Amino acid sequence: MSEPTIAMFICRNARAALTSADGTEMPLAGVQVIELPCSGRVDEVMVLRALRQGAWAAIVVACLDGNCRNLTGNYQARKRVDEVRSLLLQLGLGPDRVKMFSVASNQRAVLAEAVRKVMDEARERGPIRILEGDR
Amino acid sequence: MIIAERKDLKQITEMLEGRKRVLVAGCRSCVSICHAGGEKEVAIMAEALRLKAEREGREMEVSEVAVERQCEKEWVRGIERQVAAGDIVLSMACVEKCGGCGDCVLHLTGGVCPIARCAKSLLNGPCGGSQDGRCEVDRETPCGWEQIYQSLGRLGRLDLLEVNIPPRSWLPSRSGGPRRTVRPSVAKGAEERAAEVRR
Ligand code: SF4
Ligand code: SF4
Repeated sequence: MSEPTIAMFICRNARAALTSADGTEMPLAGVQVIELPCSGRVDEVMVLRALRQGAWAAIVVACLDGNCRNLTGNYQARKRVDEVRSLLLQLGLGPDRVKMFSVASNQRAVLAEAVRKVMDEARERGPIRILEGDR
Repeated sequence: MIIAERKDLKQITEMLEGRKRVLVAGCRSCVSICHAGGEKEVAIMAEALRLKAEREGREMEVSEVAVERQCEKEWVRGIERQVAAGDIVLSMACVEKCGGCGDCVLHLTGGVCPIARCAKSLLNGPCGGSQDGRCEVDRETPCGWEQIYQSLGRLGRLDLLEVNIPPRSWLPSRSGGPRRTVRPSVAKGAEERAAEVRR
């Protein structure tokens, strides 16, 4: 089976977590990075579209609770992610194809581990199929 | 003002079965204010339908439109061409002459509300008193189910008369008194409010 592709919506401020202190970038084969001015910009349409255009999973990466430069962007992102998951369930698709992670901009290892897990899971489950939501 | 809530997507996709060109039509008034059928919700709905169709390997062209008010003919006239181009319109707006039952069946009744237009609010009419298109309760009043029959005939969907609408819950109906509807995806949570106070 082909390799998974995942869409990563990431806040501009959290994006530093993709780079380590010595300037090396995290290996991101198969990850399409979509930088947003703030995680609060993410919406249901963006995530659904990424899945329709072939992503096997989508993740939203935001700053830690209380750390949003715009105060509430990460909280808003969480509500939208919850909503997308609910929509996927109603469509008969697997809601856990969409996940949200909160990281500080220096938590490169944490983010790398999260991405690795999502990749592994996607590889195991294959592309999104209808009825996988088992509803 | 009117309060609206979107139906479950499962139910909506069932209503669209077999259709190839869907026009999702929103309204920028009441349903927009309660985040149920404005431009934004239209975009979400359209994208969700496309995703499902694509995953099922079905061909489905979904277009989007929103008008100022779907309850005004003048505004709806502006989208006549788009309506004609589709083979079904998924309206996310409300309807006039609605009885506020909270669980709409208009997709089965040709857009004529059986709750508001039938004297007995029958879900599977007409009753035995329907005569010459008039209601037995008052000979001056058109029979709602006759109107449903005519409307379904015009739409070429008389087959829908065979669908048995089961007894329903009246809990969401208007007669249940005042209540709260919260859309968690847009309502401000406690943590958000707290963050704003810190500002
Ligand atoms: S069935 Fe009639 S009363 Fe119920 S929501 Fe629809 S239009 Fe309103
Ligand atoms: S005659 Fe028609 S409108 Fe009157 S109660 Fe019977 S079905 Fe309803």
